[in-house]
Amino acid sequence: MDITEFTRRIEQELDDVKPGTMTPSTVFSEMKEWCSLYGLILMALMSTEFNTDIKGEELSEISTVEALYEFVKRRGGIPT
Amino acid sequence: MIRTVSGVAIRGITACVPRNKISNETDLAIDDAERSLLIKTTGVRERRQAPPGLTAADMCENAAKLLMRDAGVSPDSIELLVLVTQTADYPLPASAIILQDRLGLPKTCIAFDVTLGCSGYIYGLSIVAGMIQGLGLKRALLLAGDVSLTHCNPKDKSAWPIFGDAGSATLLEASSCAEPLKFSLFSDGSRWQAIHVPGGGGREGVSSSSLEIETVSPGISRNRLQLSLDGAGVFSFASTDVVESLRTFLKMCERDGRDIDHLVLHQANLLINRTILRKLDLADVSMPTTLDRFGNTSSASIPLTLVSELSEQLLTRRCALLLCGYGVGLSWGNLLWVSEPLKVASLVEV
Repeated sequence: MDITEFTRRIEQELDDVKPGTMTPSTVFSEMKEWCSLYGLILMALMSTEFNTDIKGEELSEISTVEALYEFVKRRGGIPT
Repeated sequence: MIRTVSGVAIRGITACVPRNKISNETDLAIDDAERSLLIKTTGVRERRQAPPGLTAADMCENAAKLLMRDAGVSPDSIELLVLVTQTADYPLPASAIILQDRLGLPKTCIAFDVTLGCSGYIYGLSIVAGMIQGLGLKRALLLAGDVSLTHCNPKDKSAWPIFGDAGSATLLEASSCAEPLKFSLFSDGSRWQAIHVPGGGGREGVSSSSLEIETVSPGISRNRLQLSLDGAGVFSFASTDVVESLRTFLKMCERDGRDIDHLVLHQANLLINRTILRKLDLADVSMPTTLDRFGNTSSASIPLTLVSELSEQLLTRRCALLLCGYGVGLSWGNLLWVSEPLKVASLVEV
């Protein structure tokens, strides 16, 4: 899965986000729709679909879609 | 490690909730989009709040009286009473001892409180069943409940919309033909801050500053005597430690999804419970939920879900149930319970 596909998958999961508005450089906390519940939704998505469990403190260090992609990739959640 | 208790049967369960409802659809001061997301993610549409003066012990007392009456059990025959609660009536004495008198139990009855929350029903069952087996008791009551909303600030959107108040009573008896109860129990004190109330105890007593409201982040304000909940920390714990414990437990019990009729999880939040179910690959196993109507009711959530969602089955047939409580402590536990038809499985309002 490349980063574009990964970005689209995140968009699908976040209900109020309009398709095509997120990019790899999107900063989660700067999204107008962002709230802490989105963090839990991302944790659930990474855990169940990418086999990557993210701790709360790790999530707070991940600011962009690209950083999340790289994190999951390092943990082996995305085949290289 | 599996801990097995033989010769003990669960005979009946009654749960008790306050009539007073709080709706997350109409009673929350957040915008529509966030409200909709909150309800969808947590699964909590409404919950019950105890009015002033109605305590966890009161609801447990109510449940216990109805349970004993409906099961045809005399209070004189109860030899052990354990109350699991984090919201006892007084700092001391233990509320279970006061309930010994209020329930008309004999003075020979062993009575004490256990201070646990979300894992408390599993721990309580292990304590009561273990004491029945170890001490040769014949009959006991486990009470479990909390008025958690007394610990939550209405201006804390991380906790207030999730919790509800409830109590419960469970009747256990010695029985030579009961299937063994199998438990696995866990504790991790290194993460105690994930869910905690900082003030009001021995470490930080009550002072003039205890009631000062601090705004931690937008939409999250509370004082030192109110609950602090790290949602991401709890999610991480549940999706890793709890899942792993359940996976190992099933393996050690030589069971899989085909051998389980219902997985009854502590009702913490829907996203967490769905994640647990998916990670365990138990998609075909029934996972009843009461989050939509009662929210997270702490140690009462499992018995409340059992009687609210499964009463007909529990009253009429044998069921293989996997119960799992997880949360504050951090503390968690699993129970494999193959039930015989119960005498009572009821839900009452007060």
